[in-house]
Amino acid sequence: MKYFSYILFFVLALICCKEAQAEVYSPYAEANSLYEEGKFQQALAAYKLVEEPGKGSLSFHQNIGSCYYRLGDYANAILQFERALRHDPLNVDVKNNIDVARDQLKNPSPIYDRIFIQEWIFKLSHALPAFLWMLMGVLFVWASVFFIRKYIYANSNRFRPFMAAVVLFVLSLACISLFFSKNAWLSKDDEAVIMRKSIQVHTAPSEDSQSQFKLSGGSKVRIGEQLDGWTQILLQNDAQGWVPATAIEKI
Amino acid sequence: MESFWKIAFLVLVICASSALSAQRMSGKIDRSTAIAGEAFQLSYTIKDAPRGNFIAPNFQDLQVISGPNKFSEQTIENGRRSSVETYTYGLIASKPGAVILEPARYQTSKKVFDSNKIKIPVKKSELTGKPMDEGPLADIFFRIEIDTNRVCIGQQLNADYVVYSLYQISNFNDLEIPSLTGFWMQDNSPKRINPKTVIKGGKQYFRYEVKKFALFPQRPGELIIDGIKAEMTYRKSSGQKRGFFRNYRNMKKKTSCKDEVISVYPTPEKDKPENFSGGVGSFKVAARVDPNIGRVGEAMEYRVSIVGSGNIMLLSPPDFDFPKSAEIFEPEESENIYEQDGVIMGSKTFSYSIIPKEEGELVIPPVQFDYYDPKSGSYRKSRSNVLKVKIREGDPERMKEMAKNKSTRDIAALSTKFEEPSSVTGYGWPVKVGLLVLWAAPFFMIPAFIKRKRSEEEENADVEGRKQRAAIGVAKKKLATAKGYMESENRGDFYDEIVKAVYGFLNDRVGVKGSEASIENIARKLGDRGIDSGKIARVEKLIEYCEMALYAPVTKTVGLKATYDEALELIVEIEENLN
Repeated sequence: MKYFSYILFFVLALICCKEAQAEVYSPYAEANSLYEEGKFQQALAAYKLVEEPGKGSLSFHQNIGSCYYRLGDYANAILQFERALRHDPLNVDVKNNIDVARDQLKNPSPIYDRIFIQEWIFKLSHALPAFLWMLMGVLFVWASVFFIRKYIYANSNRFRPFMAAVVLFVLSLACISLFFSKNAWLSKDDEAVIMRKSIQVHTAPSEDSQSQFKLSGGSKVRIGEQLDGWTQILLQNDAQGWVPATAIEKI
Repeated sequence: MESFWKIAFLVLVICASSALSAQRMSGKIDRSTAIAGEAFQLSYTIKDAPRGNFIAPNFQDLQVISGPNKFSEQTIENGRRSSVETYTYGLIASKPGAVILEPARYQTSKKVFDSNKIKIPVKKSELTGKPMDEGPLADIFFRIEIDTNRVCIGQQLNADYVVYSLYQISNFNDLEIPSLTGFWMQDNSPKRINPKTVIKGGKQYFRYEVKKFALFPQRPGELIIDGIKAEMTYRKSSGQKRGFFRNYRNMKKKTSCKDEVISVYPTPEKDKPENFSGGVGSFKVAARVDPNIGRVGEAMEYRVSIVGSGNIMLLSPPDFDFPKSAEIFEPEESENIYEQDGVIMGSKTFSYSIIPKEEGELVIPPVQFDYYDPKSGSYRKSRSNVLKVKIREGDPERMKEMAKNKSTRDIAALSTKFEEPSSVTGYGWPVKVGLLVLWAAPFFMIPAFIKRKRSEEEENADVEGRKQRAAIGVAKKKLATAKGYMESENRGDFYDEIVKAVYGFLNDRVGVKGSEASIENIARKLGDRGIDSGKIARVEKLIEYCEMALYAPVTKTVGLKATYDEALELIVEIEENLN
């Protein structure tokens, strides 16, 4: 009876917790309904209420980005969509949203598709969470060593454990590589989006230097060096230049 | 009354004759105003004059560079003969002001004619840049003449490749083409190279513009207008007169001109408009839609033209917003460029195909074109007018098709699921190092496995050694049993035991397995281990004897004791030898 009351208490506490959570995030649901009604400005304000700095989720960034898109602010929309993609890089909806928003830019930075093998590896690495790749990599290598032991002790029929060890070792290497590849993707913070409507890219970190080309707000760039309030940006077509650091925002 | 008529006639005759004499000789210059430093022509014409002497007036400050050149012409018309004689001078005024020439005179044996007085106003030369004195000049020289040596990027600059020659050049045989890197250029070179006469250093030169370029610098910094080589043929008088003709010789000369360096500055960053796309000069932008009434789903043409002077051919389409109620496609570019008085002008037109998507009025906002005007040193803009186009209902068939093909490119619907906010971060180096350790750890166990396997193998190998070590003991035990049989006179068992003892001992000692055990094998192995052949023969003999004694009735009986001693002795000796 005593145990039963403990369990009951525990379950009740859990339910309460859930209720409390639902209450905290009700502005979020409200923002969604404001968006559906076409009140994008209010919806945006409502989303901002629940925003937590440095944190987010796929749906949150996708929705706030959609708001910006509807309001015609493509730079912020793309920034939010790119942030959503950080949570799930394979999400088809968000990828489509980025394509659609990019079409609205006059001078977007060039984005090249990954070649199929890279794309395949990228997708594979994101099929499982990083720690699972790590776990599998370790388990496989231990299993491989187990078969190496068998191979060493076996007096006859040594081919089978040998093959098993090789296959497991290769699998383990693959898992570990996928872990490192995914971890690099998770850790990267050198990507940014241009936030001004249109910006001249200079040859040197100074207002006096010559401007070489224009980029529209919403262009995705890679960040290079930083100097005196200027940031070097690198484009996928190997072009590079300098823009004021305030003109870009990290994804 | 008669006398009056007489007097009147006389006056008329005198007047007419004086008028006639005044008309006989006249002087004039070939322009209204002379320019200091530039040559002009002065010519005196005498009509119907008999043979006589021409006396030139005092030319004062004017420098005579050629003449007097005499030219006479005779015509016969309706039986009347008339003649005109012209004396021509090439002159240069050295300073501005006015020169008044006294009349020239023509003296015949009978009469003297005077010309009119000539007033020559002299203006200051407009050519200021280079001084008139350039030191001693070559007979033929070649140089690049530029109108300025400092321009803004994209600003027009004219470069003329000019040959000056004292002699008439009949042909330019070989003219290089300059590379002019860093410039966009338009070649305005004349098809026929016609000379102009100019005065340089007090001499009359022929000026040939062999190449003429309008240049537009493409990058800031120092740019080089490169000199070229030229080969030309000219006619030089040998100075001798042979009869009526002068003696000319054709000569060839190779010459080249020096590079000219110009400095190009970029358009200023100050006040640079956001949409500035590099247009430098003076432009106007205009836009129009054709036709002016459209239908939904039917293509129309929207033309944006930029007209003016400057780097027009390098202009890119201006940025503009286009209403969402019509689709707009990439433009086609066309340009019409010409040169006027050394200035490149023209128009560039961008024609866009547009397809209205909605009925009603299509309002196209103005196009703004920002450019840099180097003359005023500031950025300027030109705007086109707002265009309003009526759009009628489209063809119903076509509308259906459009609805089918309509691209549904829009952002996806909202995501309704709620996810706990989290931050996306990778694992840091402690995790990576831990992973590598965990991953590599099992490999360190492999040497341990190998070591264990080895020691097991060694143990296996020792079984043989133990057998060898135990061999003598086993043999002695067997011999002890045999001794028991000997004492009880059990011959069969005795010999059997002796054979077993010897055989067993040798097998164990030299490592011959049961299946390979034969006297020959044992003998060979013993030989290999360094046992002398005498002993081997004794072993063979003993075993043979024992086997014989075992299976056959013994005819000749050697004492059991002797056999036993022999076996014991052999075993002990072989054991000693093997050790």
